[in-house]
Amino acid sequence: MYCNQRPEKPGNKKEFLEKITNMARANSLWVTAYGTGCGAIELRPLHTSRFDMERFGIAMRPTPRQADVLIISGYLATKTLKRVIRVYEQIQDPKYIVALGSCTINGGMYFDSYNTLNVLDKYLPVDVYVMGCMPRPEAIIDGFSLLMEKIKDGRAQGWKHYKENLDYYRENQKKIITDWDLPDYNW
Amino acid sequence: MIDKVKKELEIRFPLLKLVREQHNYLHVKVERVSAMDAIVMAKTTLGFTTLQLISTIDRLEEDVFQITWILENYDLCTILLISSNYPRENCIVPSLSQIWPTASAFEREIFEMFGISFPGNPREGEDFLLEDWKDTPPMRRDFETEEYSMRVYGERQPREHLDPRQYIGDIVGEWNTPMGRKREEEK
Amino acid sequence: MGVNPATDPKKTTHLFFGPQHPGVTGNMSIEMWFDGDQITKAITHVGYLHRGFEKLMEKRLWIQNFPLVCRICVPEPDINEECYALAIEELTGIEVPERAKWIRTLVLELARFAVNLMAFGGQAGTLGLGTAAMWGITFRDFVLDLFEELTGARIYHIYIQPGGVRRDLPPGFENRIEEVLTKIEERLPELDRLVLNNAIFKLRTQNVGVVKPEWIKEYGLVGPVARGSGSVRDVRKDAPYEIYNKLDFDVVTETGNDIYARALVRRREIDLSISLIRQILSGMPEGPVATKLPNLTEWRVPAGEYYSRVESSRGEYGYYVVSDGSLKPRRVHVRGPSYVHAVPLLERMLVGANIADVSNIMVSLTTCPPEIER
Repeated sequence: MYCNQRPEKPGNKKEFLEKITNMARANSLWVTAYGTGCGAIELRPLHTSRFDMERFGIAMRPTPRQADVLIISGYLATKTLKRVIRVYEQIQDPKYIVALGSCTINGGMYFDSYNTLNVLDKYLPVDVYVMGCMPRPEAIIDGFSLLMEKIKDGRAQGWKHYKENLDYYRENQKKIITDWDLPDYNW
Repeated sequence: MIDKVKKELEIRFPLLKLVREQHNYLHVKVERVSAMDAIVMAKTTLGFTTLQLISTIDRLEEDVFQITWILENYDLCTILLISSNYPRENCIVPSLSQIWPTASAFEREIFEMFGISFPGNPREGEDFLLEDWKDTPPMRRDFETEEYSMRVYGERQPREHLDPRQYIGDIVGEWNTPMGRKREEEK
Repeated sequence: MGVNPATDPKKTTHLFFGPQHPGVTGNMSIEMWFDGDQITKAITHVGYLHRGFEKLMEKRLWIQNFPLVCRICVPEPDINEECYALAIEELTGIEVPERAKWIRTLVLELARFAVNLMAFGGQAGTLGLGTAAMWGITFRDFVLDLFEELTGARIYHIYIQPGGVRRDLPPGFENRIEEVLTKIEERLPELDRLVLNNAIFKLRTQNVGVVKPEWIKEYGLVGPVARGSGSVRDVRKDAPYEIYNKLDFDVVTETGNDIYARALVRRREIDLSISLIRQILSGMPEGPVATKLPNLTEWRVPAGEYYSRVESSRGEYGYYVVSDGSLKPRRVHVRGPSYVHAVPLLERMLVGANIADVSNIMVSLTTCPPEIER
């Protein structure tokens, strides 16, 4: 059911090859359809002709296996964190995380809640934060264009960072998920 | 309608205390021993056939849990609230899941949030909102949510003051709206 | 003790549906066992959106809770503000000016209008009819623009406050509402032709997901779920709040008991909202829109308990607010209408249903996870 191997360290491609692939990656961002929080409601207008995110090559995919981007749309409850980790690790490399809302940055208005994370960065490598509660569709599009720029420049390396520092992330994740019943390396 | 209900309840339960009465709203407080009788009577003879909600208030200073059953006469849109106090230590409240199918979910939530046991509920103890919770039940008054959040989710960049007075500041009397300011100017 | 035939691993398949699944409403999951493609047992799992609102409210001032309560229901936040404000007004005895009551009703109807547009299209969206879902969301966006002009925010308005509303209508706002209503009204027949007259939609929804009329009282069903099964229950009519007793309307009800009937109820609610908004706009009186409140940092609400009720697009919404006379609420318990729809009723309705109809049934029951979990 699971593969228990530690993730391989990502190898380095030749620089010009990497540049070309990054260009291609930036223009076809496929997003996992997982509304983890209330920000998901502002993702829906993005599909319609008014904001139309498909003109940037951004499309929704039903399964993480076909996607590149995971949107954390707001506060993460501890119960969701476990599912989000599982979803994130199922996405094929390269993968990116866009986090919406103030509550992913520092807890926002749920800073003293017993069931929501405060700083998402400790548990998953976030590439782009979009602030606001909740961010408008324009802000989300802006966040996506920032992500595209980062990918083109080769700066969106969250997934590599996650693999290299897996122990740090796992330690933080296990601190919250006390009934960890997944294998340590389920890639 | 409410007068009749009140009279019948008063005849049956002389120790009943009236909390609030309106034309389609009645709130009564009964002794612990007669709470179940009152609920069954309300359902069978007074026409309150729907269970809207089971709610709990932790009255820490009196060392009791106040359980409130909110019943409804569906056709007349009339609400009957029946409250009763239960001691806080090893609190046990009879289950209503045999009478109403909806009660089971409410009782599972209360078991999780307050640690109140409902013997007779076949699904008691199943995870409802929380997953693998080991601390004090979170809705109890002696559970400090901010302290827990700091301890488990770690430090975040805190505000300088947690006293709301520092934020709302010296706005006295009215919201700081254009309308409010305009009215202040007119004075 | 033998093996439960409903969950016997030799005969049944065990499947988790959600939380990461495009067919699930919001963030919740259903654990199902099925024999062939017939479901034999289903368990709803909620709690993925639990933020502990009720605990947080006990830690904040009365007025500081307004930004919190509106986040309990994402598509229709004004219901929460209204319900919480009604409870505070009942406990403190603050009077609401007449014009504020009319504006509040206008905001509530606009919100209901927007949600029903999205939900009616969303119902078709679960059957793969993506066009209707897109149209519904596009129409809703026009209404969100109105909200933006009125309150400054698209989704979370924080517009209603105890004793009135935050600010008056901007000049010429009535005309812009009328423009939007006409624009949407012109296009609604197209939506009808696409959804209600669609053969596939009829085949997939008629006699599917039947809510028996005798379940209504047993479970306490409300909103379109109850009204699709012949109930005439509507808090706006039965226990009117604000100015609903001054408006002229009939409760929408259908007797089909199935998903089609519930979709039809929502479609007719859209028409009802348009008519109500027009009535409100034509009868709106002049006057102040807010009562002067005391110093909010020292504001103590008198001790007491009150259960306030408001009709949302999904049914009756309740707030059980308890004050002990201090600066902060003692307890605020939110009763969302989809609590009973999504947990006990869904678990019962899914038994015997076809696996392809799960998300269809779920959306038709107006499931909204954040109000179940808070």
